[in-house]
Order: sequence, then structure tokens, then C-alpha cells
Amino acid sequence: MTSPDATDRPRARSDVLFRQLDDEWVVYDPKRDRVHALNLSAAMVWSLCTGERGAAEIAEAVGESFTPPQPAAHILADVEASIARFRAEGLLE
Amino acid sequence: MSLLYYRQLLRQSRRIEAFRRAIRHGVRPGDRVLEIGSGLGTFAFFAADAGAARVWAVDGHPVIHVARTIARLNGYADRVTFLRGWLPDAVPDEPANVVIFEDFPPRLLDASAWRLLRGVRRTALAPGARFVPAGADLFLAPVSSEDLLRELTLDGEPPLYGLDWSAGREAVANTPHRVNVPREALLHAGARVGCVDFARDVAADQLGGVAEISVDRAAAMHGLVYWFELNLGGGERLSNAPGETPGSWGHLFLPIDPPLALAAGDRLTVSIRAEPLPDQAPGWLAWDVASRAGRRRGHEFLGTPMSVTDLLEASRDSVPELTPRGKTALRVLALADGTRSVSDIAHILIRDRPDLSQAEAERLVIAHLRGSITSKAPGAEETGYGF
Repeated sequence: MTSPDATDRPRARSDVLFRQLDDEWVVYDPKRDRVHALNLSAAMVWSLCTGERGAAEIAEAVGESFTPPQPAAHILADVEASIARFRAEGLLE
Repeated sequence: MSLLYYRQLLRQSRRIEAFRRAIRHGVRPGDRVLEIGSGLGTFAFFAADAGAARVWAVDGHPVIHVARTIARLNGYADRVTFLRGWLPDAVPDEPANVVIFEDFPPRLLDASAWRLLRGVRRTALAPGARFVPAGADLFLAPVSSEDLLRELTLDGEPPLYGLDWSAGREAVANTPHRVNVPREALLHAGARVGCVDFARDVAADQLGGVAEISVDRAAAMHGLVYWFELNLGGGERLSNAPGETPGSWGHLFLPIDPPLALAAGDRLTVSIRAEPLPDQAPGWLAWDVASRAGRRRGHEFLGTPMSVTDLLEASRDSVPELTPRGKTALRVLALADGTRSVSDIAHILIRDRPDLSQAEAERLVIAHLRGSITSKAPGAEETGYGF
């Protein structure tokens, strides 16, 4: 078995800024001067895009933070959709 | 700004004399000179003294009406024309070949000054026009000053009024502060990180750069100071570096949090950049310090108090819809077609807004029209007062 390709472990671009504003979260892409508003679950996914975890591991970490905890399998599709959106917006390396 | 403000500017004799010498050097007989942000017209008068055939002095502030009288009293009225407003509304009737401009923010060029100068280059200048100042260099230096940081920090010890102010810490650490950095707080004389030629379009990345610095002494580093030095031409230079007070520009203190414990001779890589906005104007400032003791970054975006709504309203993706105030503004502007007085417009407005008195409606109309109209007195042609 081979280790997952780097593209399977999403990594946020180092120049993209992440900030909480009141009870909401935004990522700001300075290259495009574009702001993306995130809900809590998307913000959690974003903060786990460090290049160390794949989507399944991110789903597991996000699922564990819910009360009550959610099985990773239940939220994997949503996590993958968030990552796909970050990638489509050019926010990942 | 009151006349007292302009009086204080006139007291800065070192700055004004340096500009006088530079203008004498840079303006040649027959030149057409444009001064932007002319205030009381001092530099416009110097340009006329240097032999300019015509000088246009542009300023949006009503002080320009005082300046016009000063020009008349001092014999400049035939050569110096005062235009109230800002480009592109207030524009000379001939292209200028010399520009005088010194209305700089502490960072030299923010988006507003950058757009103003780009507009001037595009619309008001003859080919090969010269600028006074001709250009500027930008500098960074590391700073050690616990006092400075204490003054800026909200969450000091003991806590003010017994409250928890820690929410302000991120904002303070990521804000460029226009404060007076004492010269003795510098850990290095300053490294040049950028260079600007005002006669050419300035790319945002020229307003910053990277430098390698060795610190003079062991100290806790609390931030960077960012300043500029203007090249006025003719060998004249003016700086807003710590310890210099030639103008009203000031310099910027860029905090780092937490401080870095530096040893004498430690090498730092310091950098600053202005994130380019979509029109290439310089936007948010970002700074970075890398050293043996650690790495620190600051970014204006992280320091600016705002809500998601503020950000989305400024976004190109937002779908705008007029608020009730916006709808009133639209109605007022549509009624200002050159046939109705303010009172007439207010009278019509009251039909939709019966809660308003005539006087309140008139005040509202004037507020919505400000900056968007030219005006004439009623029946100016028929009064018979003129001849």
C-alpha cells in the first residue's frame, strides 16, 4: 500500500488569512482580494487543512468535536464538498 | 481642518524651505505647474516665483477661498488659479508639466493617494511631466520599546477598570500605528526596502520589500518602524524617520506579538508588503520578521475591526439592494435635474415621507446632494444685481 498523494492531504495556502468575526469565520485571499464566509463546520475543515490529514481524517476530527460526536462516515461527503470548494476557489496549495 | 491647522503647517520651516529650494530647482520659466492639495497656496506661490507661466492649485477644502485672497494680496492672481475640488472634477484647462504633491499618508501611498496620482498621470499631465518630490525611498527598522507597546495595548496589568480586554490584543498586534517612535528605540539605523518614482505608475510591490538586518544590541524587539524619505529634487531630501519632524506625515509602528528576545548581532530578515487590490492600488499592509529567536507576522486585515457583513458589502460578489436611505438618495438625485430648488425637492419628498417637516426634508436633500451637484442661485439672470 502506498501513502496518499500530497493532493489527498489538503493544505491551506500559507498566504490565505483565516479570521473569526463575531460568531462567523472568514478566509481572505489577498492575491484575489476575495473574502469567503464560512460556517462553523467549514471553518473547522479549513483549520484542519494543514497538509497532514486526508479527508477521512479531517471528517473524523470534525465528527469528534460535535456534541454528541458524529461518525466520520456521516459527514465525510460534506467534508469532501468543503475541500472541493476550497480547491475550486484556489485556496489550497 | 481649521486655519490653525494650516498655521501649524506653515511653522514647519525646515520642510517648507526644503520645498522652496526644490521648487526653485525643479520649476523652469514657462512651466505649467499643478499643485495638488495646495492648502493656503504656499508652494503654488513658490512655483510662480520660480518662473511658472501658470500654476493651478487644487484643494477640496474651503481654505482655498482664503488662499485665493492671499494670492490677490501678494500679486499672484494673474498666474495662480485656485480650483476647489479633487481630480477629475477639478482639472487644469491645460496639461501641466510639473506636479507638486506632498499630501502623503504615513505609509507614503495608500489606495486613495495612489489612485489620485494615477488619475493625475492619466488626465492632467503633458508627456514627460516632472514631479516634486521626484520619488521616495522606504525604510524598515526593528524597534524595542516596552513603553510604546504598553501605550497601545488594551489588556495591560492591572486590567483597566477590572475588565478583560484581551479581545483587542489581535487587533493591536496587527494594526500599523501612527505613533511617535523615539529614535533611541531603534535597534538598527534602517534598511531600504522600497523605491518609488512618482512620474511612473507605481506597482504595489514597489512599496515594500525584504531586507537583512543585524541588530545593534541585545533587546526585546516589539515591532518594526516604517518610514519614507522623499527625494524633492536638486539634492533636497525630507524624511519622516523617527526623530525627524519635517511634516505632518508621521511614521508607522508595526507591532509583533509576542516580542522577540534578540542578542547583539542577531540577523533578522524583515519584510513589508502592501497587498495589491484588484485595480493594483496598494491595499492591506503585511509585515514579517524572521530571526534565530523566532518568526512573527502581522497583517492589517487581521487587525481591522469589522463584521462579515462589512466584508461582504465590499465584495465584488455581493448583490446590492438599496436600503430605505439609499432609496431616498436615489429619489433626491433624480429630482435634482436643474429645474427644482432644494425646497421644491423637499416638498416633493414629503409626499412620500409625511413624517418629515419641510425643514427636516430640506436638510435631508442637502445632505444627499452634497458632493454630487453644481448649483446656481434662483433666477440669477433676472435679479438685476449684476451688470
